[in-house]
Amino acid sequence: MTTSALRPYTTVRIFMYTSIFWLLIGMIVALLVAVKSVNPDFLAVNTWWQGYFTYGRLRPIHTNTVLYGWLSPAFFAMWFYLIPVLTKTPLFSERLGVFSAWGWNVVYAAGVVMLFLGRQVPVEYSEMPLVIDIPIIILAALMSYNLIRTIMNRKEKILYVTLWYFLGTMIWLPGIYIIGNIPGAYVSGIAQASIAYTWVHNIIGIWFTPVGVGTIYYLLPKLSGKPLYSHKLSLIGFWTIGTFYIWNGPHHLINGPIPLWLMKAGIIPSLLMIIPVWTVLANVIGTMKGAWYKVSESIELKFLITGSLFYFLSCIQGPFQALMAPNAVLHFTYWTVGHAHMPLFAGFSLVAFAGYYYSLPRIIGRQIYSRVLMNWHYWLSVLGFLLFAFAMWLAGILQGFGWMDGNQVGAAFVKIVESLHIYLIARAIGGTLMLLGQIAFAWNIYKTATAGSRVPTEDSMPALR
Amino acid sequence: MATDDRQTPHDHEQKDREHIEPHDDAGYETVSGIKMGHAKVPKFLKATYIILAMWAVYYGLTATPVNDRTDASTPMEPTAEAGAEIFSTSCAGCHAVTAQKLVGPGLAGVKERLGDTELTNVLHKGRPERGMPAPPSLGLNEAQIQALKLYMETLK
Amino acid sequence: MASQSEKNIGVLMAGATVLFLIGVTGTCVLPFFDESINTPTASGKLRNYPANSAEARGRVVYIREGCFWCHSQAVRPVKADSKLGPVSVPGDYYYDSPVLIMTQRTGPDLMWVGSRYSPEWQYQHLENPQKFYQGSIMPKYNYLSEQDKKDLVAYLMSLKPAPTNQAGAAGQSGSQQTLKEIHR
Repeated sequence: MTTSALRPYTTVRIFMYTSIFWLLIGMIVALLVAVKSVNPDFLAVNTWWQGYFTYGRLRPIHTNTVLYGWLSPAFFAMWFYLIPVLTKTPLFSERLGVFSAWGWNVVYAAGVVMLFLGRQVPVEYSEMPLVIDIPIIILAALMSYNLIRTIMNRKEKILYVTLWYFLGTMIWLPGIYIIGNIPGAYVSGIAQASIAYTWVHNIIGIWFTPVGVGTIYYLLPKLSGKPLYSHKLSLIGFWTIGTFYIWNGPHHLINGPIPLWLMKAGIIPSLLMIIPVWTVLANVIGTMKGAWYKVSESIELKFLITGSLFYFLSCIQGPFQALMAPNAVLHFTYWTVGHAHMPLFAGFSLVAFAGYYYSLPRIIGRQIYSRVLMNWHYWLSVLGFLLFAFAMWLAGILQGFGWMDGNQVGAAFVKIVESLHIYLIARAIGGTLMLLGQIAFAWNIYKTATAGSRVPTEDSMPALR
Repeated sequence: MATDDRQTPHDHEQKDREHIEPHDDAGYETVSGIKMGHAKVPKFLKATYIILAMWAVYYGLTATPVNDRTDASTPMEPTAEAGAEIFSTSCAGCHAVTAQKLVGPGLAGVKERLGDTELTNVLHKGRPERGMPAPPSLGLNEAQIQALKLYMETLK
Repeated sequence: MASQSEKNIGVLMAGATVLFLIGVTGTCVLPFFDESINTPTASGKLRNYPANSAEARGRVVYIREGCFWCHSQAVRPVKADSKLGPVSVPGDYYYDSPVLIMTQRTGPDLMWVGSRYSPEWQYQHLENPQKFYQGSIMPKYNYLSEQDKKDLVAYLMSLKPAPTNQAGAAGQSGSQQTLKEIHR
């Protein structure tokens, strides 16, 4: 691995290939968790299996693996591909990039081992202990440094809107990781809980959302062949996300043990999130005007538009759930599980799939091996998700009203649990379809990298032209 | 597999270039090879912004916390039906209504076995020596204990 | 047409940092100065476990085995929580580090579970939940060591309201007063 031997975009390739590995692992664990919710004795072969594979340890392994093994590295790949392309400048240091990419994977693998051993922190999405968080923060900061230096060297002076979003996340990702993981380990009480929920919401709100929306803003004009509808709208979207999202944390404690002022400070910005979301949507629709027919021609565009649509729908659901009255029914139920998967899987994962299918051929100079498999990937993911999500939403509504009828403890509670059995089975089936879709994806990418037919190489290195 | 509909990325870009056309309502400029329009903010979005801003101020000043518990805890008459419900939440974990033993004994025919005074006594003091907590320590008030007793009398 | 500031990454990154810090101040710093959060209640004081007590060790087991993924610890002033005991208030969590409110109720809320069952029941239920409720989807915790199980039961039994809070039907009238106080 000498500097001179490193091909451009090596970092991107490492992130892409390893993230697909983690995606499969994360979704297999997800399926184990789903089956355990149907049959609690599943995998309870002996005390060893019972202990290490208990529901309470597998669940954080699932969420962490899909968030930090798959989706974060997927968007790191987008960082490391799109920034050189947009700035028309080679990466500041490919060697540092490769180091961060392998470093991330090694640290994350160590984190999974910790979770298996039960070394979990009871803060959602932040379960990995401090010894893992600190190297992760350092690696995120190193990547930001590498890319900011690239942007400072840029040949294109004007920053395209994607770069705005990406630059924002370079501050926000290390920032929220520090706020969310370090002070919480040393304080107690509701102040600690408020930090925890600010973290829970903002690893989504000021990392996955802006980096995902930035990716949409690049791929949309490229894949539709239309100019971006409005530059102004994209800037309104950026600054309003930055202003409102960070305040959304307390909405996880609505009606809960927090002072009213803090509740309002969470609820109002949650509703104001409608501003950036509708603004992004208006821009997508405006850009696609006259180009909708292309959705049937380009599978990449189909992934992108569907992902944008699900992002939009999550952000209709979100403000609704943040109102006190609906929250009183839906909070703590399976509804939340359905809601949490919508932006992260059906929204931003689909955007990332579009990004992979678009950029991998341009990086390795080979075309995607099979468009049939791409279609299978699309339909299994989308239909599997819809089955999964509707099962969870219905189950959540039944659960919420069941509790309101007084079935809150003991045998009465279990009666509600029993009535939800069928929905939990439907969730496992939906999840199986989603997993099969990802197997098609992984196989297709593997064959593309090893056996895809060649395309002219000068086309594959746009940044170096 | 599906060789005919394969496209090279090169083809894509060729096609993209042919298809790029400006929007009618605004000119565009090119940044990093991406064409960028300058359409104005649509009217419905401006209206949305204003409505949301007004709602935010109104909500911030007037919202009060939810308090639904009063509906669920209206003063109760001690009846056997009310007792059955209390039993299911507070007692059914340890006691079956049949003769089956769970953690504690089954309660079929409990009134005959213990007699009225002893039943009242257990319902107030529990059986600390055998690990049964006193019902008042589980948060039950006198009316609820009366209802429980009425329910127990129905268990044969 | 792009303005000068759109070429300047310094302006952009400073703006992003300032907005981030404003939000962090509001939601992560200001709560440290709120009186209702900073005043432990009598029930909160019951959860201030001495180091290495059975309850403190049990809490570690509770976290290690991920019990909190399915059981919340918060009672809200809503209909869906009407039978769960007194409404929990900020001061009840004063000594919790970290707080275990969490986000799911796959199983029932455990805020005041200590006042619902006897230790014997808890022990046997951990061993085999299906013995009590056939349709329960809770895993069996018979794989835990005897020590861990006893500690866990001690922790669960400690989750109860302080006696003064218990006046009235399941403490409801008392808790509504405290609720008004904190939401004043």
